[in-house]
Amino acid sequence: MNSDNNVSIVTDKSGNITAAAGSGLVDLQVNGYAGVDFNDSNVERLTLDRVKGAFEAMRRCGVVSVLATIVTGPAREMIARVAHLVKLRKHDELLEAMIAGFHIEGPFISGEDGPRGAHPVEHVKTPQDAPNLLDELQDAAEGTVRLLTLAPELPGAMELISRASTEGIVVALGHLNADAETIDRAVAAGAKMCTHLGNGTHMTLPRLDNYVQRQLADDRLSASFIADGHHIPFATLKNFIRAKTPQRSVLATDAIMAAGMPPGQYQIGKITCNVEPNGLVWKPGESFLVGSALTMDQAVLNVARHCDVSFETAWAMASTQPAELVGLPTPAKIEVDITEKGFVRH
Amino acid sequence: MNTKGDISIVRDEGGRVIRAAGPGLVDLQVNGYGGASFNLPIEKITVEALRPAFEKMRRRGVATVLATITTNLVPDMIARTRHIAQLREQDELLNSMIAGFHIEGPMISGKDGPRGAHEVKDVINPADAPGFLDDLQEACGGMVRIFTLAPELPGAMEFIAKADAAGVIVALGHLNADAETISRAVEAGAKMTTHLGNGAGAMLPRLDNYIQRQLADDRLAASFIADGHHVPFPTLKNFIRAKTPQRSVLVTDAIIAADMPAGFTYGSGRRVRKVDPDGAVRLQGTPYLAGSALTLDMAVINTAAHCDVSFEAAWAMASTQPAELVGLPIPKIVEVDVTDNGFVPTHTPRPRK
Repeated sequence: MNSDNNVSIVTDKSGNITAAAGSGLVDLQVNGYAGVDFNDSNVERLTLDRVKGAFEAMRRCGVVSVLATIVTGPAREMIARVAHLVKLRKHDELLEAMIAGFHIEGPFISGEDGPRGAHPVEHVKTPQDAPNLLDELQDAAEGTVRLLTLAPELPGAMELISRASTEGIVVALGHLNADAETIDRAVAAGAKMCTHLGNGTHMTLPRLDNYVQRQLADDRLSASFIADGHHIPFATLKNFIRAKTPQRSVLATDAIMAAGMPPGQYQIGKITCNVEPNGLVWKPGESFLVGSALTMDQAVLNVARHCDVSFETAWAMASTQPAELVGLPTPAKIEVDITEKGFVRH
Repeated sequence: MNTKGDISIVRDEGGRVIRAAGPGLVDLQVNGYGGASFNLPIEKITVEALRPAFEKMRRRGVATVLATITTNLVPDMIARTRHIAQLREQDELLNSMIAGFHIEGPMISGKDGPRGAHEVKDVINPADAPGFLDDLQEACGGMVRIFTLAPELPGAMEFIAKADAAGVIVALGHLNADAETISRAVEAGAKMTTHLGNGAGAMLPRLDNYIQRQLADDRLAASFIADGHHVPFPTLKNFIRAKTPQRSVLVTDAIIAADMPAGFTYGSGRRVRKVDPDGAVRLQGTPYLAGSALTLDMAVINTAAHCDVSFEAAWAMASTQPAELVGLPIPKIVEVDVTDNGFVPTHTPRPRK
């Protein structure tokens, strides 16, 4: 048994890791899971049983703590979704333990095709348009909004960054189209991380000077990465993790309802999407990815296998590091068997 | 005095490096320098023209260089290489400092962007001139050390394997290759990337492109032009971390304008190039880079200042590492004072332990 970063591993005779124990996994970006969409336009469909089922599925592969992620939508609906999940959380021990808070991703993002990703353009806003939205979301969340992803180039963004930071919300840059100076000012105003760095961007970028490289180079910013091999080729992810350093890198799934589901066709809000056997989620007729079917245990295994990072370090990037980044307590210990399909919790 | 590897530095009270000693600098890519150029009409390349340029380079701590011959007609490139090898026999300084040749082209991508400033009319495929490297080696007495090419061209894989077997370092550069082609080129024997990040399309796919693929392949070393113009320093910092400092080497890719004052111009007609006050060489009246005026001492200082690399590591990236990469002996120790304008010879004795 080897111990590093408080992660212990058991290997077989050929050196394969067969079991591990360490702080439970913490996913800072979960839009849905196992057939349940936290951004469902009809919150009534989010029954306690279904939501519980989604969290049980996450728990089985080693996840102990999650930021439920509410994405760009009509302001009233975003607030209602948060309020609904808060209500469910009060009625159930598992949800109480696992929903550590909320990640608000949008609506303060770039309206441009590319940076906007799959967020609906009609609901994109500037912080100036909705100066009270964060307060209203925070009220609905009973103070558990922990992460806010926004584009720093929008009118009113700098003020919102400094206000949110002062209130203890971690501000992440994402879905942005900002220049170097704006990124620098956002960091000075309090931004601490980048959400799914490399994704939510234009399909082509200036080869050397662009917002991905600028965020990568700023050692004051941590970054989350979607390590499914589809959102970023593993070769590039290896480069990015070395550039950002493993200590400043965290793994997030950005999972949608298709995560933990068999391949097939799914309806997510107004979008029909296909989930391939290799985990690729795509919308027929479009080149943009519409979300991820990644699970946190697979993210750890992928990074350890493809990105020149030890298993223990990859685990830390998915447990203690994200917890510390958003001010969560050290996650509870877990023990898992490691199979070809991922982690199986004891 | 701090010593790390073979490099010793002296800092002032504020922590600035003011003096350093270490193996002399090795520049794997020099097209020209201080008013002289290896790519001028051959009759203008003389011992008298080259000597002052090499003396200036030596004062900045450079011990050896690979004279770089860029895309031209094949017979011209061969004649040029032969001529410079002969000049080298006539002068002690040139003999000691020109350690060999870097042949950059003509087997490069013909596409705008990857081709850089190389003349499209002279670009050829390896399949068009399979005996080119043999002819060059015969002309210069086997002194070709680096051959930069684009691996996607017809005949490139065979060319790479043959060059590698003959002890020439094959570098990938000015290319427009996909991931699989890059990987096959490495398997065929390619060992490095020439000025990674430059000689590339202005716009690239955001995440999967030939820069990221070469950066990720730990079997490839890479050279970088650390002037802050060819690669912005924040991006260079990312690239050096991704490639690791141990696999990174600094080159100048210097042209005739290197070590010349701002305002220096050369060329004619619509191709007038000028050294701007910021040290960049641009096509006059445009924002386009037209070559590098970097000196290798400044590359060391820039990398140490902007790229989260120690002064000693940056020095090694410009001396022992490039020497080892192409199989040159480690240069003799040089001692220099380190100033805002680069290295200058030290005349006072170095304190010794």
